[in-house]
Amino acid sequence: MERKSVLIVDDSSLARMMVRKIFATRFPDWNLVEAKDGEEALSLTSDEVLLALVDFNMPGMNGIELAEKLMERNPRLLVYLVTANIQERMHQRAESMGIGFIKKPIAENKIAEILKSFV
Amino acid sequence: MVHAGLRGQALMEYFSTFGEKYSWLDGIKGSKGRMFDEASQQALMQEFFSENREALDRIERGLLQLETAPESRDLLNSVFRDMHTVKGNCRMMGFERLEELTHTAESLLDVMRDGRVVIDVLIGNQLLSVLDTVRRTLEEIERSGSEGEADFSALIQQLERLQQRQGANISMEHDEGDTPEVVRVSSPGALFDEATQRGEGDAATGKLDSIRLSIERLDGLMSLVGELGATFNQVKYALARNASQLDQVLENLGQQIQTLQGEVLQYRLQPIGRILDTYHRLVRDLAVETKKKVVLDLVGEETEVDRNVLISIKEVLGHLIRNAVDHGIETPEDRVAHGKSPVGRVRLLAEQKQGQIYLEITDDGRGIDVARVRLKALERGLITHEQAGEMAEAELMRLIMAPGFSTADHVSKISGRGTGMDVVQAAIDKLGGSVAISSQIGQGSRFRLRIPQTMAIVPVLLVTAAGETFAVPQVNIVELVSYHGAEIAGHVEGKMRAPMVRVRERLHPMVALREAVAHPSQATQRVRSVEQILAEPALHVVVLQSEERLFALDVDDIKEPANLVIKPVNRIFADIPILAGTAVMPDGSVSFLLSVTELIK
Repeated sequence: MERKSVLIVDDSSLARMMVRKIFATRFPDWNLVEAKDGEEALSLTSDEVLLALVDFNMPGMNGIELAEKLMERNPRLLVYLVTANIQERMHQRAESMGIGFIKKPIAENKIAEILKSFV
Repeated sequence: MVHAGLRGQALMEYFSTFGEKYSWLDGIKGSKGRMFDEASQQALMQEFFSENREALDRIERGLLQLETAPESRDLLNSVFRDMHTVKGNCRMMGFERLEELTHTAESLLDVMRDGRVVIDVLIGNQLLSVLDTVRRTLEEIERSGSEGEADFSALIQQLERLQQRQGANISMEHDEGDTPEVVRVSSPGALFDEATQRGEGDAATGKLDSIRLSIERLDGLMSLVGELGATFNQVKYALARNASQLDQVLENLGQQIQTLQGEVLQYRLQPIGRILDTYHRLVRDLAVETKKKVVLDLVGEETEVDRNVLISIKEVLGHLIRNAVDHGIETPEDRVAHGKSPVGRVRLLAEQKQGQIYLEITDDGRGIDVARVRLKALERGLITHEQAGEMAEAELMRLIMAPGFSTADHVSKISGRGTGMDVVQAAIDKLGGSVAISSQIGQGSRFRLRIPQTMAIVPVLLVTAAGETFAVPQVNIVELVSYHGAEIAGHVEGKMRAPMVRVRERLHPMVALREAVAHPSQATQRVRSVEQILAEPALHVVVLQSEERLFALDVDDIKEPANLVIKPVNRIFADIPILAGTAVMPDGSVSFLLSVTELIK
């Protein structure tokens, strides 16, 4: 079976590293694709990517703008916005697009919960 | 820039050679890193230090540059983002006090990013001292593994106070004692803007019934009124002693009144963004309920509209947006099946052109099926078969705005409730506006609304019919034409009850104002026969545009243009749809503003 991929987009290298460690320790059968901003994410994403965990505040396009582009390329992609705090209108905007939310910093059990839907 | 992934890897190797240095890592309380083995923990800490230091250095450079370019959006955004990263990192590694400090700094930067507070020396200094404090604490963490005992509360309080300056502008008189520093606001009008922004909660619930004015603006009004008083004295003097000056003095008086009028009207104008913001919530709720994916784009939020107009269009726009999501946007599955993005797009654009506000609601959904509209209209008896064959696409599309029409096969919970788009049409008519619909099957629909920016003063052309004066809104006028004597016969043709006038090789149907006034409720009797027209020495027509249609209003005489203060129609005339409002004329008499859309119905 082909390895499932998850796309991590965050301009903080520490945040990416943290998620990488979580996946390496707990969910090693997932393949990680990392990007530091939206532009890089769009150049890396492929059909194998089933899940995207996207930071909101990034240089260039923000997380919601990226999510829309990613969903356009891959309609089945599940996108979660990873944020500590977000303006109400941005929250509503994301929800209206069917984007989920993960509170930052990412907790292991939240990821486990989301990954269940791919079993 | 070094790729962060590689850097992490390199740092882990680097770290392994320094072994014991970070043994305290095990002891970090509340560190979220505890879930990993020691090597990973240490690698994370290394990344924490290096990324934070880089970000802090960038913030420092940015702040220094901001002092010379305080309005630079790009700089502010990048400083904000870096502070956000530092905060996120502190939170991730469980350093709660640093998180609180950097969070407060981030909030202040956020307010600055919005332009509500502009950087000055004091703010710059405080933010720089945040950097120093964070750097010192990072060193402390590196040394001991904990944030140490240093107290950040004073610094946090100062940052909070700076941030609150924006909200405190209105009550600055009270604060001046303890915060003597000058608050630099983005524009002279900012005081006013602040006051209205604070009422945002009210705006959401539609309470747009009061405004706050800065003392400065009120003083401006007072001085205008003072000038009026002085000019009034000049008028009195000229009348009593020096009549030759009267013309000049009256002209001054007229100008001053116009200035005052313009000034007061300005205060009635509000940025439309105040009501648009609430639609994000609406779209979110609709999307969740219908299981659709929708993104709402707002363009032109700064467009200013009279607050009365604002109140009236709030619901109209809500209705149109609701309609776009409910009837326009397809389900994500349908969209993908048709080669579209799963995410539908609804765009609301507001713009101002020559005293008119244009509002456009565009969606990239399934579009309006004209064939189905025709069918439905026939079923409902809104049109006859004969009419259905003759109607152009644009006309057929308009039928969705007719009372009793609903294209949805079932009345949905959202758009339904038995009220259709006719509510929209009625509200726009009441505002003296119009709506144009265009749509492409499979591509989406566009509703373009035109409404006057302010309802208070309308530029009109005065015309007469049956001895009365009427006002025609300038915005509908295409051109004015008069024909005399034998000329008339060359331009008028048509059957007995349907005379047409040829203007520049184009035939326009005619509506005789004289007849329309005599039979206000009978649309069929609004014409004069060709014989009647030819019997008179002159024919004066005003070519008018009503939505997609052009027609010629046949009047007894064309008078001068004017700017009139329009009031609602008196109750006695409220049943006469061709009358849109009343205005007091220079001689004290009352004239009626005509509704152009009603004249051609």
